[in-house]
Amino acid sequence: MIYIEKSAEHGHFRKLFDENEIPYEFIEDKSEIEDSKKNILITSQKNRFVHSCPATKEYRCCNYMVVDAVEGCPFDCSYCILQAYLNHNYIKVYDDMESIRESILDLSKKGKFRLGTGELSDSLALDHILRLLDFIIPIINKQENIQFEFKTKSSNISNLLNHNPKNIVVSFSLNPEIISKREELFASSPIERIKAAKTLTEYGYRVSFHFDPLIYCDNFEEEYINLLDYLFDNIEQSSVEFISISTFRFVPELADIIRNKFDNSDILANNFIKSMDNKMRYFKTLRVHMLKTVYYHIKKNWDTVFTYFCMEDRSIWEKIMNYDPGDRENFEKYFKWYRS
Amino acid sequence: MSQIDRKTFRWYKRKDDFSEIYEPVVWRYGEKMYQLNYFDNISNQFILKDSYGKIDALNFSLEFYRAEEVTLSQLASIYKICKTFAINPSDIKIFEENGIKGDDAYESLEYYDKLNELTAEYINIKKLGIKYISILKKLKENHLKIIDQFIDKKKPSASDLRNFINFIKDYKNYINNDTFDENLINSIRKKRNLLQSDFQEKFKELQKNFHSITVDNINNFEKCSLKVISEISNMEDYFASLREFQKKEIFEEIFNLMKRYDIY
Repeated sequence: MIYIEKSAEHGHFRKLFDENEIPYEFIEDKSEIEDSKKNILITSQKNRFVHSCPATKEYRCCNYMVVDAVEGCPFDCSYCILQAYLNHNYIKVYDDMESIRESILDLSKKGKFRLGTGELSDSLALDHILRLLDFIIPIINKQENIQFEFKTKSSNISNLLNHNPKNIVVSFSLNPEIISKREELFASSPIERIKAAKTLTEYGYRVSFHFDPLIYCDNFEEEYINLLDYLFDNIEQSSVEFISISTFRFVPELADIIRNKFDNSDILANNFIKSMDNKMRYFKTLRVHMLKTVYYHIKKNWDTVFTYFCMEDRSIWEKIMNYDPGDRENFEKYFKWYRS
Repeated sequence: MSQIDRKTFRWYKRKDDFSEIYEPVVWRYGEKMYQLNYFDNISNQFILKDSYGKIDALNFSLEFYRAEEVTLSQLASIYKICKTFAINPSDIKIFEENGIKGDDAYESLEYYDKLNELTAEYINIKKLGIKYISILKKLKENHLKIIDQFIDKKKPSASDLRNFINFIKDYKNYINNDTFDENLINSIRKKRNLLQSDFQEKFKELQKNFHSITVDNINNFEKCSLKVISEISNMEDYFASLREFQKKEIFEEIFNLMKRYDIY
């Protein structure tokens, strides 16, 4: 159900829903609604809509910026940080379109940036309802300093085929089917995501892929290599903007949430160590093995695609990639977009 | 006069629960009579409260036996009263005050009574918390048996018990037997963490070369740095430590080991 709070009763989304005959209800306050992923709350409040992706100084991070127009996700991934980070299950949507537009334009004046949605939500899962692409893409098409990324686990791409792909990257998070089925509830299957990516590349979009989080499982090597091979068979290397790889990492309090919420999850059946940013990670030796497996297979098949590790130690960069990307500003310069 | 039920409301099991001065309170509900306090007062003298509603009766009992701490066992008994009289537990403050909120928590309270007696009592005494009952509620029979046996054999600390329940939950897909076998448990964990286990066994062997100094890593091997500590009480200790600091080949072996395992 969609609820529009009093603060947003005359806003952008009410108009959109009226035009598209999408039903909703007015409420005075969010306390009136059930705190469920099945509910969307449209609200208007002051917020910092554009900011740096939360990085960690102990591990190498890029200079990616994020737009938080939506907080919450209809998917239910066992490893999702939102379960520990957000204090609500409903999907909160900010009806502050002018503020969001101004924030994006202000960023564009400061220099070249990669910006995107999908940090506190899935970029495409609800696009048939919220139609944020209709708002964001025309803004981005006119900017020369922004490359915008829509990060998703859905295959809900039809609206993208109504827009100009200029300066847009659509990125798909991927895990093997066996993991996706168990740990990424309600998300599209990895095959569906790859097929969606293929359609987008044929239309002219740049795509990217996030192998994040890599999750250790029985026959890890075989599972991920098979997934990668399927990817290579379906997508042209030249359409791929970048690939990121990183292993499962989590704040300690997420463990209890996973245990209580996900009966079938296998994700905690490993030893985890507390790492330097206080997140739990696989033991370094295992991590290196997992990253090497995926990275080397990518390089064997797609040797020109810029591939990077997200939130990893510089010693791992040096060991596997033979270089250290440095701090955020320096790391960013390795991206194709930045160099173009 | 119908017989007075002295069991239903006895959620707080106090020894010698009677008063020589005051009469117990009895509540009439339909055809039945329930004693609400002084459960060891067995007499025909009592104060009848037939104006009480169900929630009033329960709240009287909760107020009367108000304690600073309520145990899980007591909360389970109070929940049973709620079920008996179709009282909505969210209307009873004591649950929320003790972190019991929502269907899963209430179902866990109900499940508490189905646990093996020793396990239930142990969890109660060790103050494990409702989330562990919630985990147990979702485990298969064989996993529960293993936990029961673990408690019976090892008499674990609260922390060890929490860790063991978490371990069984996390590794449930790899545990197919129904007997607590420490060696089997260790081998299951090792198999899933082979690289780490191998490395740590080898590292431990190298550590055994040192007796006067301790050599260890302080960041879970995220970095390859070693912390070397020496405790000196006399000159003999001092020289013994110096000799061990000079065990260059052992230190080299440690760094080579870390290199082989991609820590360095």
